[in-house]
Amino acid sequence: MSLSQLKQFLLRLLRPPRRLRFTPEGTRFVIVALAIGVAAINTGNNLLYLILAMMLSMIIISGILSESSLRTVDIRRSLPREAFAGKPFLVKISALNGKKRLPSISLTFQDYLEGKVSAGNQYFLRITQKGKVSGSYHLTLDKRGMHTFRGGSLSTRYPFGLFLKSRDAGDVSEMLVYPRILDAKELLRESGVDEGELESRIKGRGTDLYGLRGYVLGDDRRAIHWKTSARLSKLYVREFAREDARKVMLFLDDCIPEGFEDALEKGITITASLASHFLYKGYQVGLVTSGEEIPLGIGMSQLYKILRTLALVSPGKERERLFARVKDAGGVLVLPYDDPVWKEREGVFADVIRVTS
Amino acid sequence: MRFYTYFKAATYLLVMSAFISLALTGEIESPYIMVIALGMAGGIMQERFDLSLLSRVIVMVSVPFLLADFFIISKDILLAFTHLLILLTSARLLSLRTDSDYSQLYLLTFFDLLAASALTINFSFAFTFTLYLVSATWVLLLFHIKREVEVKEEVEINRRELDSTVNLRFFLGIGGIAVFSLVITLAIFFILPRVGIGLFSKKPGKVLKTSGFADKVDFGSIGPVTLDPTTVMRVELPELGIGMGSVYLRGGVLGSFNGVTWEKERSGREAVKKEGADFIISEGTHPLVRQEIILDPIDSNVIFGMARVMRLSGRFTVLFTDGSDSVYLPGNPASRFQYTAYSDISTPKAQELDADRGSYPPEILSAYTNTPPVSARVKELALTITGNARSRYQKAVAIESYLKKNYSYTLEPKRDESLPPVEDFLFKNREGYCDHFSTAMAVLLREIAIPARLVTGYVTSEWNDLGRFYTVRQSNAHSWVEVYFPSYGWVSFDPTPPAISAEENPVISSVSKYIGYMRLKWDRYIVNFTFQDQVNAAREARRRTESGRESILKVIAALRAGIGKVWIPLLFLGAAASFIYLILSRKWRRGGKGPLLRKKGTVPFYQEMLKILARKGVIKPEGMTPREFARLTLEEKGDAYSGVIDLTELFERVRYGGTMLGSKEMEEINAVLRHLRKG
Repeated sequence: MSLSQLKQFLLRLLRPPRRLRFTPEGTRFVIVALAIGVAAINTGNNLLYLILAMMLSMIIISGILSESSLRTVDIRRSLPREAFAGKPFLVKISALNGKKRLPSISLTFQDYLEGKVSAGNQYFLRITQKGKVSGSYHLTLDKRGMHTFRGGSLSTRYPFGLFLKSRDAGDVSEMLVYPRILDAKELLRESGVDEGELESRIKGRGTDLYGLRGYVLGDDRRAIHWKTSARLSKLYVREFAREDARKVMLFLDDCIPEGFEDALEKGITITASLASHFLYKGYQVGLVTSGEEIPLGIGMSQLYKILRTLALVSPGKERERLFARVKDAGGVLVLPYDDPVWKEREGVFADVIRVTS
Repeated sequence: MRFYTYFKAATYLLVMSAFISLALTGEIESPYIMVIALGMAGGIMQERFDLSLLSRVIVMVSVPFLLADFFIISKDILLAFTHLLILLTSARLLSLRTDSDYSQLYLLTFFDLLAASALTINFSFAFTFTLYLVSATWVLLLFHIKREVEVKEEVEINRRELDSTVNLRFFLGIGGIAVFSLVITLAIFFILPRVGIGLFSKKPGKVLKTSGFADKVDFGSIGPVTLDPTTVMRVELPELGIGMGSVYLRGGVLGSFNGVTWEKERSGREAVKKEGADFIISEGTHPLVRQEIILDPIDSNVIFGMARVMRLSGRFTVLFTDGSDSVYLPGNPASRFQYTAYSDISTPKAQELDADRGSYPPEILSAYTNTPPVSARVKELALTITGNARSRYQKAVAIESYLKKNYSYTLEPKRDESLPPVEDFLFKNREGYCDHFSTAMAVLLREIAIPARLVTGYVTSEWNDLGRFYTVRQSNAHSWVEVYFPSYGWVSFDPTPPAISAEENPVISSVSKYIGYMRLKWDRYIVNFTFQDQVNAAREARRRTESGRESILKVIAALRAGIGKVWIPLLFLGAAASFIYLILSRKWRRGGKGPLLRKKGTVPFYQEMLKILARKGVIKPEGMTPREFARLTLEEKGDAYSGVIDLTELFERVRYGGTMLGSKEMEEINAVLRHLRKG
């Protein structure tokens, strides 16, 4: 056994597998039991000893039954594929009782995020022997980014509500939360940008048919080529020669000085909302930040690419990538922090959105 | 909702058990029993009518009532508090709305039980205690679930799930828990060290009134007592283990008779010598019979025991004796107590007594031959009866048989006030009970100068073969005669003929035997369980362990001798190998069960699921993909069938992914299939 193994073994020994806490009723119960114990010793009345024995037996039974309830219950968490900051989603919790003969009764699984922040809880009234029960709780995460569910505690007050016994349960899992997506029109209005003007600056749809391609979720339904779709039993859309005119590259300047974190968050929300807005309108949308670049693309898969990138954006240091892409951009620049370095470059953008606090 | 019905039923059962425990103490007067009944009725009515105002009023008046009760009505602090508890419990029953109300009610019932434990030591408490324990287990468990479910209502615990949880199996489970709890309670009860300090004395038990065991006893005072069937004593004979017919339990001795009253001849008493835990009354060479006696409090301080009590042990601090082999406590016992008596029950043979011609010591003659003022015909009668007797013994026997044959037993003798009681019995009415017979014999013997005295105590033949003990009742109170023989001391004679008793109903007799047995065990092992009992039990356990170990060693030694030294290790090796084989084979078997789930082209568990669903009315249409079918099932049958999704996922992994499922997945599959079958 190596030293680190020994250390881990000792740590395991020191960390009891169960935690026990008195409930208020349990505290009162123990105080009354102590008082009766004193009375029994004082009077020598065997009937008081009998009542004391009854109370102690209830404490023992509590220990045995709560242990039986907690033992060999496997907790599994299923997270949804996507979640947006500020929007509630369901976390499914399944409990599997591994015991062959005994059911588990009255269990509560308390789920935690990193930093022991409560995520939610799920109560299981009864899990039959070898049975599985599922439930779910609603969770709303206000912050975008990678969130870790660090596992939780499985606890019970069963059978008499005198003690709260708990143990660690549930696995560690991670979940990416996309930025909030708000109404783009509203956001543009708040930022003093006229939506109509912006769209007119980003040139309109072309007319010459360039070819056909397979339908992607998010494509404009008006562009579906029904004849081909009917013939080939698959949806096809028309591509136009001046498709490039319906392109919009979103620039997010994430290089912010300290104290502008909230503005950056707001900028990310605006960028995500614009990406969603334009992609749903059939535009090709791309994204450039100081650290990442997503080439132009269309459809839902493009939206998720952009959202994933935005979800993980952290304040950047260098603007080289942004500056390098500016000259042929013609897109929209989102500025959480109005840095003067952008003054001379603003002209190439269809519009500049300054985040107002 | 079924759950709430059960919960309320359990609550009322708990309250009822607490109230019954109080009512059966015999200390609660009928108005309070009425309050209890009204409280229970009000508890049921409060679900329809708002009785909370009435409840509040009762609570408000209860404190002044407590003061009035203590200072004016009962004048007993324990009773006053018990009455207060009854009022408060009833008041709480009238308004049960919140969880806190229920908590308070349960706490009050607990205090009711506590009060009952202080008011009684009767066997009835065993019944109510068991009922309370069972209903408390039930109530607390349901109360816990109720609270958990109501708190977690935001996660929408399905009410139907709650109802389906409280099924017969659930209650059988609770019953099991209650029984388990009772067993642990008893185990803890016997283990808890008895270290009584006794800063405050116990409340005295109910004292049985008796008038036959005082220093001064009026002629005929035992008669009324013999109408009372109350149990006063239980006597175990652990070493004999069988009944001995009638057993005489000697109490007080009365030597001086003035024609109306028997009195002790001497009033002086001296403390009994103590050696270790035993009090030594007298030394002797005969084997002693041990008696374990549980005596209820009576208004006498006499210690009872068979024949001549030589040694005593028990929770006495001091004992006294008066020289007549009677033993006394310093005062009348306040509560039921237990002691061990060791008696010399040997009696001299008839021939030996017949041959005893020694002369009486003068102090015996002076103390036990005085006669009361009676007419000469008493002496004439004595001489007539003993005319043919040649020895003192023969004379005593003659008088004893004369009285037995010629006089009859009755508990309602007539009385001619113009005659002294003894003469009235001997010459006129000729019927009476033990007092009459024994007094007459003593007087007749004294008339012919044979020292005799009256002994009071109990005689019983009520042997309980179930519990192997004698039950002694007030109705067994008795008096008999002791006659002095110079070489052998005092010898007992009983001139009372047997009473004609009504034949007992065998069923009642058998039931009463069982009840008597339970009562004895209750008194012996619960009420009077002591530290000494714990020590004895520990010693016994040790002795048994040692004897068990010796037996095993003997077997091993025999094996060694018989088979030879080589075989022993081989035997152990074989046993160990078999054990390891069993363990491994179980493991292999478990591993071997590994789910080779996939037959050619089919996945049996999925087929099984389809069959079950078809039986439930969900049939998979041709051409529908497994996933679509899973969604359809969920739409039609609801979330209870969510397992179908899991099975479909597993099916896809096996069918299309070629995955071999492990035992964990297999367990999950079986669990889902079981659930679907029950569905």
